[in-house]
Amino acid sequence: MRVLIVEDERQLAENIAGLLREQASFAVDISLDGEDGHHMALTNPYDLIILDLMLPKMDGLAILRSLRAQRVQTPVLILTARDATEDVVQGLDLGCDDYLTKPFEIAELAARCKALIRRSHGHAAAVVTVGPVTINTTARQVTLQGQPVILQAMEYRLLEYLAMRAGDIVSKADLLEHLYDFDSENFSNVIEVYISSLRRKLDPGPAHKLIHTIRGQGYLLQERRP
Amino acid sequence: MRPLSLKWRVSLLVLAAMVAAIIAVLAVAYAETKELVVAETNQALLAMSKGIVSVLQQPEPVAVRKKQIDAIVGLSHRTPAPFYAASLSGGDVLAGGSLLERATMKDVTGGRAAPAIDRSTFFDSRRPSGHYRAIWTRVRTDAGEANIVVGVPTKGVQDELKELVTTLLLIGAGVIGVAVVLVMLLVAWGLRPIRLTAQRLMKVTASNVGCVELDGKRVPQEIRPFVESVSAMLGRLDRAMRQQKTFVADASHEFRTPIALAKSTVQLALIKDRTLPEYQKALHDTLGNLRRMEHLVEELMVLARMDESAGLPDVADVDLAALLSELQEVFSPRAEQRGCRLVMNVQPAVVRGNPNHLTRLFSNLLDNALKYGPEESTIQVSAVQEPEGVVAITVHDEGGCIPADDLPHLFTRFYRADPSRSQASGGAGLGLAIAKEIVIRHGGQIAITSDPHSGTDVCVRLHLVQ
Repeated sequence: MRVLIVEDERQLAENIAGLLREQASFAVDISLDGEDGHHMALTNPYDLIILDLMLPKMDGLAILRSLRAQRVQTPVLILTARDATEDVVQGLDLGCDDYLTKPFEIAELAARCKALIRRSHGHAAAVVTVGPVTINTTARQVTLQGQPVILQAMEYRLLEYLAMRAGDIVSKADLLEHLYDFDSENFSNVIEVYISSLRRKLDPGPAHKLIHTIRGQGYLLQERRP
Repeated sequence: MRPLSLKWRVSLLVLAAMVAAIIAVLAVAYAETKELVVAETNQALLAMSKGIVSVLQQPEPVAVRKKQIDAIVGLSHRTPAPFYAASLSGGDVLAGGSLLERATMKDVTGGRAAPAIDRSTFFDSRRPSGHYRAIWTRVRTDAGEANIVVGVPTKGVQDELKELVTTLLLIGAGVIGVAVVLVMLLVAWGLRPIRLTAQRLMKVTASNVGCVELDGKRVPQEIRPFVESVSAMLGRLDRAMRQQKTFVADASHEFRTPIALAKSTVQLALIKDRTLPEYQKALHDTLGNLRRMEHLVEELMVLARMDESAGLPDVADVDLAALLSELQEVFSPRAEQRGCRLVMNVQPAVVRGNPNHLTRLFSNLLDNALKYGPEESTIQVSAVQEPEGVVAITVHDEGGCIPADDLPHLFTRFYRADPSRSQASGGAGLGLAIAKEIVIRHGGQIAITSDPHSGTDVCVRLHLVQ
């Protein structure tokens, strides 16, 4: 999952980014002003945007209005020190999905971010099950037929994204865009490395596959018995 | 005593005016009617005396003539009875009515001067039976000079006049009553918009003070300035309350941001075990946030203390040149860090004021100049004596242009030209507000001018000690 934080207080933005990387294994981009944030939100396929309202160059509500006008459906969480009811109502009316006022509990922020992303992919519950594999997105724990499986952060990130879109073919470009932020060095063959390592850990046997490669199109997470 | 209501005042005024008018009408009507009635009576008396003259000359017996004269004066149908006396060439007096049979002419005329021949005089006569109007006529006839006196009672006429006065008074009272009721209704109707305005004003609360509209056009013209001034006052209140609201919102933003920063930093550090440098960075960042809050609290306290009293405590003679050179020493390290030069060009000047306040004032100005001026630029401080015992201290930096729209608001508490209120672009926005309070307390003036080419000048004018 890839998240954009538009927040002009650098320290706060970095704290939130660190939290989401550590606690949710998200890829995170930071923008420190409104115009830049607006541009980034329009040009990258984010799974969530965390938006401050008082921003240099372009107001947060203006960004939200513009995104919704251009049919960007990405969930938006407004994070602001403005807590007057009219501010909250205005934000919700303009199409934000959640509203959190500063100062906030970082655990709550992380939980809300995960919930917003889950719901945008059509999963209301925190636990996602695909065949014998169960992914607890809150604790970031994966079990295979009841037995815990230890995954690397990148492996988890990849599995969670595929699980959210279970049944859909996900292209490699799509994976690259959603699993890496601007700062990471993304080599396209790295995806294949993580896919094969995931297969080793999760596929019950050669006859019973969970992760399928669809040639020329991408990957598909689905239980498909022969 | 409570002053009378407008309704009653107008009603009483109208009442007084109408009473005066009706009395005048009454007086005129009475006088006119009386004159008319007297003229009518005189006419009748003249006719009677002519009739009596002709009866006198008839060769009839006395009793017959008397009867005829009785008929002429209407003896039978007038009460009290008229009277008459007639004599021909000094002969017997023919008298009748309320007079004794044997009255003499003199009894009847009461010793008045006789009229000329063929003339008549009228006179009023009071007799035991009442008031009379009488005529004395002297006529020359073939049988010699005739003297005729006829009097008719005026009781009927007076009754008529009395009746007239009563009628007029009754009509007048009716008119006054109706007028007073009408006036009261009219006044109440005229005051209705005021009552409605008052009702609307009753509904004004802190939350809707800006939304109440008073219709100044519908109230009577005399009250319009009042309604308009109330309306203007509501507008001012609304602005003041909105300012207050903005102040609270800005203050809460200024506090919440460093709290959010410190809280998230500490919480993130505590999520899992970290390395020593990571802990050190978290503590360092948190300390920075605490310093920011400390600074904010201190500035707010300064403003609160100043708001508490309008006066200036601990006033002394302050040598501005010494004060500014001390500040130069304090700020030089910071200037050097930014590669800036701090240049002082200060003429000797002594002002009366609070040394701590003045130090804070110029510290704030230098702080801003360092914060907003570009790196490796020059900050100039000059103090120049102006006429009329004023010293002008100017802090000049080469910082970019402040938009003209922002200039008037720069002294407003928490005002920041940058709407994001980002910490990266400066403090909380209290520095200039404090500076202005200090300058006002010293009876001086402060002004900012900004120009993209030369930079920004903040000029403080203070009174010199004479």
